[in-house]
Amino acid sequence: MFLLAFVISMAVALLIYWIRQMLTSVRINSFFDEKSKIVVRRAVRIHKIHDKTLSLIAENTEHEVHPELLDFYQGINEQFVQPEDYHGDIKPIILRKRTTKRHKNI
Amino acid sequence: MEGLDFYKLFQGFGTIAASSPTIIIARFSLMILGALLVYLGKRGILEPLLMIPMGIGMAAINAGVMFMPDGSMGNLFLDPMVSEPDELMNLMQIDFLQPIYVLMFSNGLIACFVFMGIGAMLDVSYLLDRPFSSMFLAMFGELGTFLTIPIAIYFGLNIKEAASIAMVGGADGPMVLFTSLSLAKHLFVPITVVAYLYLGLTYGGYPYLIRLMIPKHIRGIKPEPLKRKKKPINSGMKLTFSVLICTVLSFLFPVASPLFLSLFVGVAIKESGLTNLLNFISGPLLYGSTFLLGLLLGVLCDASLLLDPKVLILLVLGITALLISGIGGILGGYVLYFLSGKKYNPTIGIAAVSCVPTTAKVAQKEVSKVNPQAFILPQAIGANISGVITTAIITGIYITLLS
Repeated sequence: MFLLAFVISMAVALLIYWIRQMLTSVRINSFFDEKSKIVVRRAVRIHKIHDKTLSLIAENTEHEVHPELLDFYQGINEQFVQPEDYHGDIKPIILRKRTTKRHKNI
Repeated sequence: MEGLDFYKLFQGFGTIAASSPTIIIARFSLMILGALLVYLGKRGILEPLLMIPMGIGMAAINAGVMFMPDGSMGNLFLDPMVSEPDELMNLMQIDFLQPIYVLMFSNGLIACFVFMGIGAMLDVSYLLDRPFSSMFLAMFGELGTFLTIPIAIYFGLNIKEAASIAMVGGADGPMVLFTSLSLAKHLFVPITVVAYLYLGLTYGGYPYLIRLMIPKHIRGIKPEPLKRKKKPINSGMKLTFSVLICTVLSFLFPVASPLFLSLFVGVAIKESGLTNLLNFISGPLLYGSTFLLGLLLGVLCDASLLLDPKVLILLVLGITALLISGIGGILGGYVLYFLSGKKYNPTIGIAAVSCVPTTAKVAQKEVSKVNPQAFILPQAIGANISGVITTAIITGIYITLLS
């Protein structure tokens, strides 16, 4: 009975791990978060990355090319501006300093 | 005035005079024990939320014995052994705690309310951050629920009774209630009393176990920060997680689904930002249920019930189960200590015994005494929550295989 309980517990741990990975993936967050939507759109249109590798986009691709965009996993980069490079040109991103105070999300 | 009988007027004295010496000694001992529990609760040595109402209830029930109309001795608090419906309805109108016992305690409702309150105070992000190490520790913290079974069978209990008392090793009152209701209803009252009494005692006993098994220099190990930054988890994710895991676990183990629902509905209320509901669940509901639970447990500690030889065996087995679970949890901590290259604090293992949040607090307290800089509470809470899940898994397995 101990072995059975151990196996089930490890399966539950795996489930929890998988749920966490899914909940924090860029792709799932793109359903709720505007900035994640942009990251996903860039991945698909510019870097031609589809499906399951989308969750790795932050670490593998965008982080190397535009590290300033990828504050995603440490919090959203508040100075992010939507780039105008959906036609293949990766233009330098102009970061605008906010002149107004940030409002806390309620 | 001639017909005035002193013993009939002061029935406390009358029942003492009419009782056997064993019962007299037991009643007075329990009155003193009740007062002692109140004192220990006030001092913070035992959990005061449970011990103070329990202690005073224990003293009152053993003092308030009287002669019933049929000549037998009884009380006006409650009778846990009555099950015949007509008699029960009659008692519900006379004994003031009988309705609470029948409608809230014996069906596990009070346990579910307590679980809701606990869920509303939990932060599942610790579990989400470290699921494997938390669940691994939790399994070691359940050793008592397995190893106590053969010991109980040796003492003359059958397998169902043995499984019911072994669940005390899971240190989860609601699970103990549910298992004994399903597998050994005739032992429900003594097992519950034993379980909750010893859950209060973990606060007093486990620190000594930690000091015995873990040397100071290991106890003071400061957890290392994670090498790889993990993605932050917001309240929306925790809410989604609580819904998903509650559904999946209920699907896998329907027998424990009321408890999964109770725990995760508390978590869901907390993460959804419903402040008024959260204040209600973590306030009046939790504390009201805890108060009534403590009071009922004290009132159930009647001398005639506790003197039953089987109850004595249950007392011994209950403490054995908790002891083995505590040792198992610490051993699990040591396994991770060696696997991590001596960087993991094995004291966290005691929190795998899922007396939420008592054992996590005990672990942090013992570590802070040696190294005030070491903050292990997050990992301990993760192990605590995992312990609840593994206890529910084991409850489901026992009820499925043994009923």
